Amino acid sequence: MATVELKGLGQRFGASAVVEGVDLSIADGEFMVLLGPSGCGKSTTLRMIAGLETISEGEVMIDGRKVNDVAAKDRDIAMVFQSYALYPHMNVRDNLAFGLRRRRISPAEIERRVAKAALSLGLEPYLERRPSALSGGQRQRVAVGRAIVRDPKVFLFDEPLSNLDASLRVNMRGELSTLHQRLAATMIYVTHDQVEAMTMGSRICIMKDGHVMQVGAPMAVYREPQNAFVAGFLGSPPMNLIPAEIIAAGERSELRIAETRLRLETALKPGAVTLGIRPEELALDAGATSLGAITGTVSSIEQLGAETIVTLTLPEGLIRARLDNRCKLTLGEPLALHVEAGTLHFFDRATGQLVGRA
Amino acid sequence: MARNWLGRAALTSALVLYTVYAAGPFVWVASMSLKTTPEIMAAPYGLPRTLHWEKYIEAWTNSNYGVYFWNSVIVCAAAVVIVTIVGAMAAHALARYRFRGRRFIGAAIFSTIIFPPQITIIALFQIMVEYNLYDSLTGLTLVYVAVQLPLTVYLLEAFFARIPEVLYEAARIDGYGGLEVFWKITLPVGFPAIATTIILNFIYLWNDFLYAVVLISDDQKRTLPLGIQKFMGDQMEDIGMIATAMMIAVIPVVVFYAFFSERLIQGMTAGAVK
Amino acid sequence: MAGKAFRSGRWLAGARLEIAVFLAPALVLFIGFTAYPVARTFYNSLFEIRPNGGESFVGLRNFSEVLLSDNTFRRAVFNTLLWSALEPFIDVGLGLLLALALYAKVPFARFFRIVWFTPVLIATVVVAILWSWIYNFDWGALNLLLRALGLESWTRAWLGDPETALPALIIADSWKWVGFNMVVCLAALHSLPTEVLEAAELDDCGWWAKLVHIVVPMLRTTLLNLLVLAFISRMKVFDLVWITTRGGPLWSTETASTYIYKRAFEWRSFDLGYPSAIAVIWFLVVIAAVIGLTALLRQRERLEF
Repeated sequence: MATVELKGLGQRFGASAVVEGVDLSIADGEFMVLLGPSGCGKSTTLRMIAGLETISEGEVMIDGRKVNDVAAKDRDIAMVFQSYALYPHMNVRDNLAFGLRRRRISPAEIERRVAKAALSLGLEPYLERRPSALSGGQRQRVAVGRAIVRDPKVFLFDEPLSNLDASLRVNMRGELSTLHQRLAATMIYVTHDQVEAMTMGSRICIMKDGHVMQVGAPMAVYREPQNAFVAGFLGSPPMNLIPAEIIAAGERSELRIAETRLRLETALKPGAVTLGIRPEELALDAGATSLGAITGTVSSIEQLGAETIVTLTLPEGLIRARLDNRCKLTLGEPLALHVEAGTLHFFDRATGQLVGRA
Repeated sequence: MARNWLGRAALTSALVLYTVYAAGPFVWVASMSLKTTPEIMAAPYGLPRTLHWEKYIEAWTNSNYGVYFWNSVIVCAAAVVIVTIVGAMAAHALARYRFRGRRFIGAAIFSTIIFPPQITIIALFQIMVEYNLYDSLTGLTLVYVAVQLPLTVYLLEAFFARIPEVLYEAARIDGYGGLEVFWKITLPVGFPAIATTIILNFIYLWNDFLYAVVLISDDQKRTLPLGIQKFMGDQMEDIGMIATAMMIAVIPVVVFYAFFSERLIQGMTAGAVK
Repeated sequence: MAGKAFRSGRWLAGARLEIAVFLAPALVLFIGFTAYPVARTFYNSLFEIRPNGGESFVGLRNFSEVLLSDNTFRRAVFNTLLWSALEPFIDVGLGLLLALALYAKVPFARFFRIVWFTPVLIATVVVAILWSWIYNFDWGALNLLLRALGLESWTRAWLGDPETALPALIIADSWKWVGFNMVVCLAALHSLPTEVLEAAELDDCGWWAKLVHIVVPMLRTTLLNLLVLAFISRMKVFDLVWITTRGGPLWSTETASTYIYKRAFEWRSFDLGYPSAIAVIWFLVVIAAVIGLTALLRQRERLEF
């Protein structure tokens, strides 16, 4: 049980920064997900919290105590690695007990904790086996079990599900969420998979090029991205981002996307922007608050069963929409997609920062 | 078909001939080791009529082979144990830490693998005399350790470097320090490579002649190869006894081979590709 | 990515001490019993060193003497280089043929492999005595065989004849080492993709063509490595010669190693400086050979690919 606080955390090699100026407070019992593409510094950040990487600048605080100079073994954290890192020369029981034997815990207590963890993870039949005799899913459970028995202040997960096949990943996702609820422990979880982030996280911290782009609850981050990167990273398909222009038109503003013009209900600062709109916010029919329609040529139709993803080609680029599975569309024909008020996001063309919504 | 059959027959006879060539001398010595010298002189290639096992006892006691044998065992065992531990520690440092001078130290140690022994042997003789280690089993052991150290470090470093770093990270998080992970992770996980080097080093040292002949002179401190050579000089006539002595040197290696043939072949092959 | 970042070099608390603890024993032994003796040999080579402390600086005199006027040294170098140049081809060639036989899955392949490898393990001292008996004039196996074949005139004391002593030793040495080359070749063969050899099977080319055009080119790297290794090992040869002929008769089997040993520990003169100079020269020859051969191999490699 603990809080974790990162203050201006950074790591650099010579001139190049791997991680820079990361500020993040993680509350007791929170499930914080560090999300981002590979190379964004999320694993490095996690490893700095773990004590596996040296910290070039800033501070890591666990429970209000600065741990920059505390060795990994003394930080009272447990970590689950992507490759599991099970000790190949020990059976499952010894793998689970290895971390406890070092910590002046009585053999009886070790025995009790191992048995409890094995029971909760369904590992009892495999306690005498070596890791090489286990399936991928079982190894994953042992790796998690090794963290649980330690009863640490903070659990760290470094892409723990990415070596599993798809169906097992869905199961383990559920199990890890249940585990978090049951233990009510502080967990920090690194992944590049937005579905894991959305489904498991209490909050998500999205990173890019060593910087934090946005932190917030999953739906808040999804609904109100603070910049074009977050907007384009979350969602499948992600938010459409196309160049557009805001023009002053009396008391309100007008939005021009190539030939199309949408009348906005509020006045915004005129200028070139990047328009962001989620595929599911586009519709064939006009709703009550319709601002108008974007027109383009249907260039691809992907029928996914429950829904249909249609791609329109505009002079400005492509726009994808998530539509009802009953809609009838023909390739190569023009199509108008209606836009409702409150679904538009505008980002600065140069910085990518949010400049307004409408 | 006929040609094929002929080819097979030719191949088979070639293989059998080579087998006789490879194993014949060994079988011959084994048979001589059980015959008395007069018997050998009468029929050098006849099979022994009665098996004179007592020759082994005689070699062991009267001809001092018990002493040579135990000298060899003690020196080889001590040298192998020390070189394994010292070499594994150095290999661990080179494989697991990044530090300034690492490449230099590695290159310095590994390059001596190809050095001819003559470049050290004269100076080693002087040094051992100066430090009162000449003609001592301790001195020979230390030299043996140094001789096998580069190859040992080389083989182990290559293996240890392939142990995933993440195991060490997991162990650190599990509470183990830098010295403990050597015992808890490197040695057990690296065991196959360690076993290979143990076998390899044992065979090399057991068969060594050069260092022993330069550094040992006292009869009571001779190792087996030296003992055999001395026997050869002293009792040129007593072929039967020399053959018995040769078998005493060969049998332990062959027993070793019988138990660990795969690993040994692996080790010899690994040692070759440097 | 993160793993790489760590590996590319960061100090962790206490790491300096840990490295020192792990490296110190090896470095002490290495410096004391390898590096220092090497340096001392170089130093020795500039002195005349008599037993009981007499040591006088002679500059490069030892070297000029070795290089300009020592006929025995020349003979030893010639013999050793000849030996090093010839035996590798016997060892590797025969080893490859044997490996191919085993690879072709002849019956009892496992038995053959174990038997053929055994000589590798036998101490050179034993090999030396064994072959000195086989070459014995009166009852040695070789002469008995020749007599049985009616070739009485060919018989001789093989190691006692300056003409045949060196070739006889080369054969004895290769008896020991062929098995080693065989297992390495066999391992290399097993790592080849089977399709290639099967395709050759289907093409029904003769076994010689298959050997020359398919197997040898595919095993080139292994074979060249083995040749170099054999070459270098032969440059160190000592035990076999020392126990059988001591370099005789008439220096016909003198090698660099036996000559150094003789000059250092056998001769009445007992000057350690002169043999040290020989050792230094020979050391440089070996190192040059290693560097030259590996460079040559690398270059061929580059040309090929």
